[in-house]
Amino acid sequence: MTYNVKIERKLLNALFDIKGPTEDVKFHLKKHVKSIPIKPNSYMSQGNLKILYVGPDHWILMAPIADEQQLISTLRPYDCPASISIVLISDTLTFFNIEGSDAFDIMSIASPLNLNSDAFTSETATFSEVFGLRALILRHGDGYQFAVDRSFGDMVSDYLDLTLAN
Amino acid sequence: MSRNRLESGGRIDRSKSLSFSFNGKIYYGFEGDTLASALLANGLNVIARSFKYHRPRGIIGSGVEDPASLIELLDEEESGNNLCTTVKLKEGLKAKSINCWPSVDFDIGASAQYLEKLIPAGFYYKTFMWPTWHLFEPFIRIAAGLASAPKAPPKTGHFESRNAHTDFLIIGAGPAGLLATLMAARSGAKVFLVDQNTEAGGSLLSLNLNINQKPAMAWVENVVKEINDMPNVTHLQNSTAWAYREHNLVIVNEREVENVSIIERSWRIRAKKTIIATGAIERSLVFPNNDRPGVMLASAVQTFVNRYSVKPGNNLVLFTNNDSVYSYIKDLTRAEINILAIVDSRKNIADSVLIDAKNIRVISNSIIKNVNGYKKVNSVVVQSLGNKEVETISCDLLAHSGGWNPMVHLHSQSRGTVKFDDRIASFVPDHSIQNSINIGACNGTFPLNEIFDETKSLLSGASENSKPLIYEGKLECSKQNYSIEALWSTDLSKEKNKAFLDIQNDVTHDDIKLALREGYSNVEHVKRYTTGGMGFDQGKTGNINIIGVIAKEQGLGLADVGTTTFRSPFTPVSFGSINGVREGSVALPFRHTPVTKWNLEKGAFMYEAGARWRRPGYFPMDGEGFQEAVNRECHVVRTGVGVYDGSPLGKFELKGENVGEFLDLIYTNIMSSLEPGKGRYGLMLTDDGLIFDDGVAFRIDKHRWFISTSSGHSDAVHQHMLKILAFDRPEWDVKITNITSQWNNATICGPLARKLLKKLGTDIDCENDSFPFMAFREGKVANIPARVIRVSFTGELSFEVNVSPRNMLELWEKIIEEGEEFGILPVGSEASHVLRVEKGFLSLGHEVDGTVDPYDLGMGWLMSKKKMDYIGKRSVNLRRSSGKVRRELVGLLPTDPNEAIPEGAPITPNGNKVATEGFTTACVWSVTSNRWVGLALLENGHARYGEEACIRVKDRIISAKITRPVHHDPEGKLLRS
Repeated sequence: MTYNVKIERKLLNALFDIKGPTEDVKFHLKKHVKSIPIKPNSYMSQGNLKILYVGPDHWILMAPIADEQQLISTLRPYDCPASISIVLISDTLTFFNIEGSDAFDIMSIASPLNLNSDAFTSETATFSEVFGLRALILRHGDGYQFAVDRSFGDMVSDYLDLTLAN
Repeated sequence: MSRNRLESGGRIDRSKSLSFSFNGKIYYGFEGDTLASALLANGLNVIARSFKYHRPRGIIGSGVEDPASLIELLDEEESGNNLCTTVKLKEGLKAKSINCWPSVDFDIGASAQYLEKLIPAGFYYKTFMWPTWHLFEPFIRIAAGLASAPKAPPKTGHFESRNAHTDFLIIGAGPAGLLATLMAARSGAKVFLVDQNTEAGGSLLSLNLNINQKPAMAWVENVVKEINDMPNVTHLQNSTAWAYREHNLVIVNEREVENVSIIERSWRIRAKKTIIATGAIERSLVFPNNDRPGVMLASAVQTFVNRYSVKPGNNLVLFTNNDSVYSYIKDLTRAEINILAIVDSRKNIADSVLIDAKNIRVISNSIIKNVNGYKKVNSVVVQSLGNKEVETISCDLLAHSGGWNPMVHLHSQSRGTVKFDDRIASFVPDHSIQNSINIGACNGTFPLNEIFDETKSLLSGASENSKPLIYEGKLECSKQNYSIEALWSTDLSKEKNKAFLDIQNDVTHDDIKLALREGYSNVEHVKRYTTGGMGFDQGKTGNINIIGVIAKEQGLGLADVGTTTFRSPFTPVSFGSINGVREGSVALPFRHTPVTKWNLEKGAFMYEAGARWRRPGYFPMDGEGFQEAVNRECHVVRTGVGVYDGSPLGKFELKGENVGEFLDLIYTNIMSSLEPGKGRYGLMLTDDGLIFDDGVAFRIDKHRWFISTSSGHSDAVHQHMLKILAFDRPEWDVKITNITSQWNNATICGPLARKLLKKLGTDIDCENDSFPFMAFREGKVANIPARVIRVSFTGELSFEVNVSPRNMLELWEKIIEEGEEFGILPVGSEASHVLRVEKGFLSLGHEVDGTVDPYDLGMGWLMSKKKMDYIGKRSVNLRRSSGKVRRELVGLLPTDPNEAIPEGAPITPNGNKVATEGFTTACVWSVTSNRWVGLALLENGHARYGEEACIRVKDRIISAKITRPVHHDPEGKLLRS
């Protein structure tokens, strides 16, 4: 192995795309989270949940896939208030976890994003680019987690295999 | 010991002998050698043949400036066009000369020198034109060339490309770069130091100078040790910064990576501030036969002596117009090189300079009039500029120096400006456009003490964090002189021998004069006409002389002539390095659906079908060809049931108060009036009224909508919608979520589709009365949550069953299993294409080619008359009001039903060789009509049904009857069944 990393392709997380005015979103999510991030490209963790602020009036709620049904029933994506939009998008993204002492090196091959710790803090979550594809990137343990459109999952796996090739 | 190797000294390790082969012969060198120094040590004079005239060429420079000694590396290192002065010697290295046959010593191509009248500058614009240039072109390309690309990828290892972000990027590890690195690193800033040489030191590697009363290299070693121990410094040696792009992005090629499995690594470094410390390059002097093996740059001779302990010759004549060569005398004498004379074009030389030339004959106010010898210098002819007397001096080495050019390449690439500096007779950086500064010799500052002073001064104001950049230690240096009197060329009137300005491209002094005579007076035009300054060396040694000659011939100053554009790459870079890991399976992006693996296992013929989706074209059975497989799949859809993976279709969920208005704006027809559960087909137009995309829109409930777009235009439609909301209607409440990958779809199509759906088990009432065409239902299919939509691209009864990707393969396999009794088949893109052509349904890229509007395709009924406005409406009406003839969609039935019309084939009036009146957009074998049927865009097509069209193909004309563009079920009863 060229790099000291552990790479795991994690197929599914429960994901909800949430759009709407901050106060309305905050009110609707109050059962789940005490607060929601308002700093651009940041996220908050509360228990099993992560809520990512990825664009103006745009959040992604992330949870283990086992919690998906329960979240559907409480978030009510099909009949939530008219002012906000909640769409189940769990299947849209394929996640990759990159952990280990060389995780930074792998990410520097994969992405042009500035991942230096002063620019990409432990609370950062942002859409950027991985292997030329739109990707959601955030910190994960001592490494990183990124997600690409699931249709590109096999391609990114191939990329990572090539990156790790001896 | 090799014949030209000195007994001691140099930065080579004599305990590590390395064997290598050059042109099939084994030689030996040492660790620390370059291929060039090892070849010189072994006494080789002719290394390469020149690009155009195949003149013998030896080593001229000692680094990236060398314009002549390109070689090809073989076997493990296989790659063409490497400068032997930059190839690090390794055990077992194999190399050969390029552009010569049968050998570099006896090259048939050298006969080109006798054809010079036929191949002057720009000859390809004016000779070899009869009967046609293309008759001669292949031979000319073979005769003039570089090495070919490797035929196979490297047997082992791979390339890598990385990104990095830093406070400071310092380019060059010479004295200026090292001091800058030290200052920046000590401030705590994150620093990248990159240097193209195999070891740090820059000019100090070759010059015997002192810093603080000790050898300068001792200072270098201390600095390198300190910075290499700092965690905030990344030091890349043997790494060339070859491109400076916008946003302070510099691309660096690292040739020696700590991980040996990585052949080369490309770095894309974005720095807050870039410090360019790339030094200077010695330029040539221009005199007859200045390219003969044994004619070298003076600095290269000194480098080979001091750094590589190699004596390039025994009897040396120096030719100069500046002071720098005088400082070499001590080193060359110590190496027992017999300096016969210094020919200095200047009349007056400072006494302080002449002190170094004690006991050496200095011939001032003189030039080299000619060099004698073919494959090796044997004498030079010296001419006085005063009384014109000539003298011949026997020698085997001529070292010359035309002055020093600051390496402004990267500064210029960053779009910084340059100015001419009379003091050094060269161009220096003027204004920086990006956050960069130039220091040291690349800024026109040559003496070491001045370089240090300038670096300290400029860096003190360059802090990228709160800590100031200061250097508190002392730096006392050896004194250096430098003055110059420019000499752009010697007097070459009535000269028959060639005097080269650009040695790499064989561009002579006469070529430049010819270009000027022929009216190419601008420096950029001269460059293009003569190729001077092009190619791998980008005029490193010759460009300024070319500008000088242009200035001299036109009576201008060099500042008035200006420079050409310095382009990347600064030195040759392998494609592999640029590409990184983007090879093999990921050379092109690809997308999979959950069914892709199943398709491959079933032997589907896969290819890219829009938006990078890898899709099945058809599913051939044993021994079956393309047409048989497609016919079989089409037949089953028309008579039974097939299933198509429609997952790539673009899908979006929209929510908000203004979605209805928004859809009315982007589609040509009215969508806002749709009831929940109902949908409509629609067209989107561009602002200029041409069809952009087609798709369907469905209303899920009061606030939520669902739209489907073509696969290929999904991303473009998404951007189109976001742009409208961001710029045109920011006040509208419309929230768009891309759900293309949230919902995959298996399209069950054919007369037996309903039966199969029922057999799969569904809680949706799928009878036509309760679930009609263009309706949407949510429920379960095969016990899987699904959204089912009744739309059709085949013209048959169809149900698009949309499920989560996690359930898609399960659904697919159930459909295949339950459909077995109905003879179900998976259907590929080819059959889908045939079926839609039979129905006359449009396809993006075929009928929708960026020129048509809805009326052209007979879809004017989709252009709402009720809406005040929608995107493209005004443009369509404006264009059509001109009454100009339009190309309209028609059907084609070839007169011979068994004759296919090639897609794209032009239609002309009566088949004559005149302007086309249309073209064939598609032609397929129709299983329902048992013949070839086609579609075409034809001028006034809708008024020409029943007439004959003539389609021109290469060797004949195909006639076809023009029909309505629907060959199957024109009333649409089947899809509504």
